[in-house]
Amino acid sequence: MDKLGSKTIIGASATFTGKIANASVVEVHGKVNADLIAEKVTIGEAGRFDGAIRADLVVVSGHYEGKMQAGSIWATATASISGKLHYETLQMDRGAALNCHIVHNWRAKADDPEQSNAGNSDVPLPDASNSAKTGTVPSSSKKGV
Amino acid sequence: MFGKNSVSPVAAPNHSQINEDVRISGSITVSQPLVMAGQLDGDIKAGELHIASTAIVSGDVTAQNVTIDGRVYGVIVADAVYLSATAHFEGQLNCHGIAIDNGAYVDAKFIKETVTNG
Amino acid sequence: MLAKSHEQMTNLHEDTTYILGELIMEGSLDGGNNPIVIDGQFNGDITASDVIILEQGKVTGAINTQTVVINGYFKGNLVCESLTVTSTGIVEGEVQANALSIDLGAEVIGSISRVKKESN
Repeated sequence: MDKLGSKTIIGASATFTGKIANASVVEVHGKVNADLIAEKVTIGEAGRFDGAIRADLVVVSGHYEGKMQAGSIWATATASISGKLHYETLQMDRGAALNCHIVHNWRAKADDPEQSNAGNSDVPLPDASNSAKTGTVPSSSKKGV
Repeated sequence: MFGKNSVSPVAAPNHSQINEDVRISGSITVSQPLVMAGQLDGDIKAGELHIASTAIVSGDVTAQNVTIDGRVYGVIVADAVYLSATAHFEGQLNCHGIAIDNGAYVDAKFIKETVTNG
Repeated sequence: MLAKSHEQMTNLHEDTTYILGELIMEGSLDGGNNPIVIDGQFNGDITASDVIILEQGKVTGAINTQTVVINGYFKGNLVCESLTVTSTGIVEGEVQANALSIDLGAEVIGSISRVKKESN
């Protein structure tokens, strides 16, 4: 049998409500209402995730609502995020809609996560620390590629 | 008796066969392989059993290997059971190995059990 | 059916839901009108067009779909139009299926009956 690895994909028309455990790579193109601990989470453009996420890397192109604690977060142009983001490195593309409380978390490891194929460079935003308390992010949004 | 004029049996010489037009009320016990093509109101105890497509068995079947092309209503206790596309089975199945072809009609309870028929 | 799933497996489609690897999911999953392929663990309800449980997959709960292919383990209630259990499959529980294909080597424990039609 082909070794598919342990990727989990919630398909575009799928809806899941419940608990997820032991995840490593998760792609959400449908609707998920759950709490998730994983290594890499991708929320596709049509995807919608409600719940807590704790991951090394999260790429959001769709809708997220909840509390996210991640090493690296990349909100692409179609992202719409509300809730709380705790991050070490954050990349936000022009167009992303962030309506949330954003906290730069230094307590986690300073190590960068594994190579992400999202092309997320590991250069942190220069004024990242300014966004600590307020919901605004410095407008130095980089085009990610 | 087994001359040129006799009808050659479908089953091999030491096998038994109950033809399509036979109707039996009662139980059948046989140690050699049996091809059952008729109708039975009662139980069968056999080793190798083939229930042909014209057969209708209402009763319990105990055997080692059963191939079912016909209709069985009752409890089957066997090592291995094969229900072909023309099979119709209602009842209970206690067997170790089961194979069912697409097309079979099945309405039964399944219990896993090993039976060795002496 | 299996050939179709292999093709789906080599290019993972966005419309198909895949639960693979060591993943454990508990809850209610609706695949929409698309297939669900499970190689991990799932406890709960599944509604979809097709469900394919791969060899390492373990599903407990209720499945209600058009077609189900079981290469792994299923325990619970299953309602479908067509059920295929391959030689590595184990099915325990109550099955309602109109078309059945069970390979030698499969284990079936419980009951199999026709899909009970709801009277209008």
